Amino acid sequence: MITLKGSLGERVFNISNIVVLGLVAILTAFPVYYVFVVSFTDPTEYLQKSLVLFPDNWSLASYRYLLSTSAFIQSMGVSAFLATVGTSCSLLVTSSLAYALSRRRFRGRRVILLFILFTILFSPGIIPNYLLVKELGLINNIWSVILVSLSSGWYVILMKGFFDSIPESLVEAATIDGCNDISAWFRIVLPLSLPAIAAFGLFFAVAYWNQYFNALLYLNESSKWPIQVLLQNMLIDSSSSSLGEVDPLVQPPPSETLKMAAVVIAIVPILLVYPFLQKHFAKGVMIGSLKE
Amino acid sequence: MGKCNKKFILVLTLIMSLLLSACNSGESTSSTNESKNEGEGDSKSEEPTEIRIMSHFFNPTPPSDDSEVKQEIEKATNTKLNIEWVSANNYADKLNVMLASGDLPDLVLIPDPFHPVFRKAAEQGAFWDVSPFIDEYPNLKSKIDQIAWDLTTINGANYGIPRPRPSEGDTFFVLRKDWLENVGLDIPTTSDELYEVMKAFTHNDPDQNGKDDTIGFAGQINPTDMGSLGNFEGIFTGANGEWKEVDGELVYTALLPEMKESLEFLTKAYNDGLIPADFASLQVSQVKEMFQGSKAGMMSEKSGAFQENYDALSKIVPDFDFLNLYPLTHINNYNPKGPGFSGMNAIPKSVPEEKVKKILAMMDRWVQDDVFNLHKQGIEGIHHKVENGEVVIDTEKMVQDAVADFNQIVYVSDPYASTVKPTFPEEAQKLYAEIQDERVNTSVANVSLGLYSETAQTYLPELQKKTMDLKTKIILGRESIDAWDDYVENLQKDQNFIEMTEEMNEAYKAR
Repeated sequence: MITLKGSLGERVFNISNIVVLGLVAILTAFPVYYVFVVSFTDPTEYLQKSLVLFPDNWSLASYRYLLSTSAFIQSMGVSAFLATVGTSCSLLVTSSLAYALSRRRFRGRRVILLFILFTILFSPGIIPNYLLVKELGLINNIWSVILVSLSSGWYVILMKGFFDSIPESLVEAATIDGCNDISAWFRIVLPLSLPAIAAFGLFFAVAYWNQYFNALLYLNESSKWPIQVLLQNMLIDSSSSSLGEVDPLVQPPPSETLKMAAVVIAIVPILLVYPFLQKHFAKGVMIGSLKE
Repeated sequence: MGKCNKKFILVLTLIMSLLLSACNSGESTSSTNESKNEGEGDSKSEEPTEIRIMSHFFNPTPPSDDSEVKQEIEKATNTKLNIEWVSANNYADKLNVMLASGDLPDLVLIPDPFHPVFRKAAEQGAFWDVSPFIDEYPNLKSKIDQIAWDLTTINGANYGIPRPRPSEGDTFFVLRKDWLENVGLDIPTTSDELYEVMKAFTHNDPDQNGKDDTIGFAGQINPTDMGSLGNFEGIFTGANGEWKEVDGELVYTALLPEMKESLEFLTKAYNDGLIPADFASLQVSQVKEMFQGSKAGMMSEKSGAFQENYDALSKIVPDFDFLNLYPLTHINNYNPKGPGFSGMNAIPKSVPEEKVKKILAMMDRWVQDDVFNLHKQGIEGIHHKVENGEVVIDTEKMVQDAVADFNQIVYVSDPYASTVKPTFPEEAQKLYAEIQDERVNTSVANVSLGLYSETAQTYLPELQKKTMDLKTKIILGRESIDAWDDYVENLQKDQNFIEMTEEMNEAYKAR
């Protein structure tokens, strides 16, 4: 362990760092662990114990129930569609726009940038958006969730910053070798921008996977709901007060173990994306590409 | 709540402008398709009417579009239903957006008919007043109690068809009878006896496991009301809700001297450990878990919801009898009475008059037993079997197909629906129904229901929160009970409070 080298002071500092940060790490990991463990606990055992740290009876009952309901599987499918197709569309639009805006010979780019900046500062809000979707005839269409939030001004400007760092001379060199604008972008610039593409791809994928409010407003049919809308339904006890205007016809909410199993199933797929994209974050590939 | 109000005002202004324009252009949206008759099995010559409905649902997933129950209902009512199910958690958001966009379905659920946004929209003529039509639909009129129609009027007009619910059998105390026997006490009828029972449930080892691991009463509070501890106020003040009639005048319950007694009761109970130490941060589901985990001896619940408790307890407590879940009749001669309805279904003005009549005709047909039974007990062979003349319901299949959610659209009020469910054992059904019959003698209704006060719209939410904060602090012992006297004294001098009280009394006398 490198941490235990150095003077006494350094060692004390390092050790206390490890202890304190380790504690913080445990604190953050605990809720996740708890959700995981409860999801595998036998429902009856969960009721009897005040805190389940390690269940006596491991049980797959909750998962079996969830995976046997067609609605759950269907919603996973919808979310998967959103995360893949939506992310590709968003990346395509964002990166091409950002690249064009980063090239100096593109006249009028300042004006366009201003317009984009404007959308960051002022957003129209829920009702105008709903009216827009309605007029486009996209209500109850899965594309309403993708098209309305295809890109964001903030991401375009961030990505433009990244493309700015790619030297113009690199593109010029490609042009001399016979590339036109499209192929220079596709064959030279994009491969060089993999770290950025991976990062933004992850942002978009997570955003689409977590798509909730727009889907709630625009999609009426339950068969088109993404997983988050379904989850929210299962997790939040609609009978928030046992007194007051609670409807006597309300069904009891699903058991806690079932809820936790649903949470686990919903977070695992998007969690699995991280390791595959992480290697791109580490370093760029620009090193040694150009001598000036 | 302040943030909410702002949002409502914003939404409101938008609604005004948009609804008006929607009214003008609405005539063209009639969707009675005049296409070829497909000759569906029925002898009816008329083409099914297409009706768009928006409602909320409570099952984990809503009924699917090709649900057999829905198809049967469509066949019986000669309609083509296009139902948009919205989760009950977000219904208000969705409704606001739909109202603002003017894109309202033909029949839309209004969960709170007294909400200012709906009230304003209705006053401006955004919804049909159904009262002139209703006499032509005898089933609809007879199956929904007159009181429900009366309570949902706005300026004498019925801007919707109320959704009837049983008024008796509202949420009240339930206790563990087996525990009561173990500690050797009788069923309590006064607040002092109640205290003794809670105390024994906490300290006298009612579950006889030799451990001090039980609590008297499982309860929690909400940010603006007493939540499931609310009944402890009612048993002292004798008032259901925030207003009580005293000598013909409405009085805000916080001003009553009995309110202080109830606070003292709860403070003492908290000090003796009879209610959960963390009651201020518990959620309803956690409270239920305490009771279902056999850790608490009492809670507030409708007896109609006992199945869930029984299912959980019977797995933990050996030989657990359903009758061990015992609903109390009254404490200090008080038990609450429900309003008799839960929201209503409204028809927007964008629907042509012809279609309004068709929608009402559909509901008129729907409330008849043969159609209503389709979602009360499902379809024979799929959701229930008939054995020796008795209906045996497949609960799991019912939940899976979310059959019960159709009750959210049309429901025929069975007076005992809050108290007994067909799944209960025979003697439990009998006992609970008897208890409900006895409760009728002492049940107290909410007198302020539907009364409108302009000032209360902005002032009351803030007042509720402030009052609740102080109550919580007193129970937790952070403020002494004297602070309550000061608070009440200041409240009576508050100009907004005086105005609100006057307006409420005016509305009360006008009724």
